[in-house]
Amino acid sequence: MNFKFKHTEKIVGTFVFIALVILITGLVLIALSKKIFVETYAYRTKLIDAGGLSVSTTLNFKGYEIGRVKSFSLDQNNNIDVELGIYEKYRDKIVVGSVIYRQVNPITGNMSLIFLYPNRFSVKLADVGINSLALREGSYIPSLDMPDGQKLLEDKIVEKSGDVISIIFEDTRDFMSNIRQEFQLKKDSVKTFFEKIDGFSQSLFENKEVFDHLNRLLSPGDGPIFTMLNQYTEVANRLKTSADQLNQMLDNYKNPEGLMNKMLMVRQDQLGLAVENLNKDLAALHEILAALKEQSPLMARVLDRTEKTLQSLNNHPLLRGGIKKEGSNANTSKKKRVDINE
Amino acid sequence: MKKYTIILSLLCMVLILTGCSSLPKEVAPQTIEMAHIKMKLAREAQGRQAYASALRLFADAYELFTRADHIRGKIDSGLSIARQYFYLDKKAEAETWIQKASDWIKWNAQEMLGAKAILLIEMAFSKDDHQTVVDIAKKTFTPNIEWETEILCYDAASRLKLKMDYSPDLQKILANLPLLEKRFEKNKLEDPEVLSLGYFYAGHILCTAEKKWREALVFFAKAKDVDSLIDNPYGVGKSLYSLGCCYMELGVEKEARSSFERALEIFTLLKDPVMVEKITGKIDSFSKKTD
Repeated sequence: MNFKFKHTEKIVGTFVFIALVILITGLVLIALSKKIFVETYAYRTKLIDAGGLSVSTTLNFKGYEIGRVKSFSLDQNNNIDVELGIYEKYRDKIVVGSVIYRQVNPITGNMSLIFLYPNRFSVKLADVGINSLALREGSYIPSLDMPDGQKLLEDKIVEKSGDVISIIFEDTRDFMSNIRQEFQLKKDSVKTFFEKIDGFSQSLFENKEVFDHLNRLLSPGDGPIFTMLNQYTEVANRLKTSADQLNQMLDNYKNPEGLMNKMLMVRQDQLGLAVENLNKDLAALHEILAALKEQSPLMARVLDRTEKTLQSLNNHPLLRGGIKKEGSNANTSKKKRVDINE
Repeated sequence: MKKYTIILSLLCMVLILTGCSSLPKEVAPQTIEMAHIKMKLAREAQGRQAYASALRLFADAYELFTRADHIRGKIDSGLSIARQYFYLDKKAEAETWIQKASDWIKWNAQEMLGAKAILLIEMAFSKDDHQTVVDIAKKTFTPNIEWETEILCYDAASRLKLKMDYSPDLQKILANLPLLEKRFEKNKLEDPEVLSLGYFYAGHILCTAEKKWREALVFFAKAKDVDSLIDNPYGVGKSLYSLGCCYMELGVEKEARSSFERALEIFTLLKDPVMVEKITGKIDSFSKKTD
């Protein structure tokens, strides 16, 4: 059976036409979505890293796309010089104190630029007779990568905003970086850090008893240390009184002239009283020393363990070495082994 | 059209159901993996005799296994918790955990009976309750070669004490030792001390019961080597003491004295007064002979 298309040209023409319409519509839509026909105003900023940056990277403000990266290049100071194109509609948002915040998605690695509008101006506009602080085209907008941008953040003129997860990641990264710098950790020592933290918490847990003892010893009112300190203060006061009396007596004998006269003037009961007081004080001191001796094993134990805790605190953080290991004093195995002829 | 819509809807439903059913499976392995890591860390802590830390880690693992409803892991960690309590001399807590583990084993995992039996045997053997050891060993069958060897070692030693027939146990231990040795070389033994324990008790039975001192020497020497490799000074000390006894029986005084002196050094470091006194007595007997 012969089969022949009657309207081949029309059918092909229609398909080609539809394809062209789709193509042109697509191109127009892409051009519109990319805001190719929108007039832009050029501004500059500087970043420290171009990882994830492309000419299609957008500049967003409160979820709105307010501009786009036009070009970027490496400058003489090894920073990234970025040229931004701000759409006409949002041009008035680019004011003095604005900051660009570079945000890298931790999962995709794509960069997005966030525009941070100042919360307040460093001077009152009305006071200086200015109606607007809008930046002129071609001006430099500081980024948070640069010290001038950081200063604005520190002065709370701008606040970080954007993707919450990215901010958390970045804050965590900054935190870890600070910890590393602070404690001079190596990059691969994060695991060690957490192991040390774990060990430290274990040692703190094991030393709970020490803190309990310390609490008991230091508890005001009924703690033995406080009782002893009270007794000691009392004795010290009495000793001071005795010493004053002795001083007074010695003053009497300081000048040898008329010593015999003065000696004869000394009242027997005064000297007796001083010696008696001294005797009482010595007895009290003896009691305190005995009490101290009684407390000493407990205190020695507590101090010994406190020393260990402080030693580990000293070594912290990162518990370099932790608490010194004592020589093994226990059997390393609990699997009993019977001796010959036992 | 209606037909296609139904087919498409069914396909979508199948896809959704498959996706949903795979979700819990993704969560559970992570928990179990974490639990296994905890178990490993706990065993390391147990190896360092940090029983309190090991107890905490085993408890964490138990929690994770419970969350993932992993019954074998629950039993394993539960028994390990009981073992730590036993090592920490907290018998009541140990008993409670053994009881818990027994219930799970009874209903869910009969294959874990060996692990429970080992713990009970260890506890009985430490109290010199040899009859209990023999009774438990008699009732226990386990395909795990490590558990089996450990049970056989304690059983043979207890049978020797009770003057019962120990030869089947000894034969089985001797048959297991080469297999354990191979696994030890490949670092595949869960508890490498089992190998040294096997060598030690093989030597112990050979010299104590059969008076084969020369053969026993070989086993004690191997036990000492394994214990040295796994950093188990208690085992090294015990093997050296046994070596000294064997050399003494064989009349090789120089070697015997050397072994006793090394054993004395170890037990002095381990602060084991009983062993120190025993070894000092042996060394003194040499001195008396020389005089």
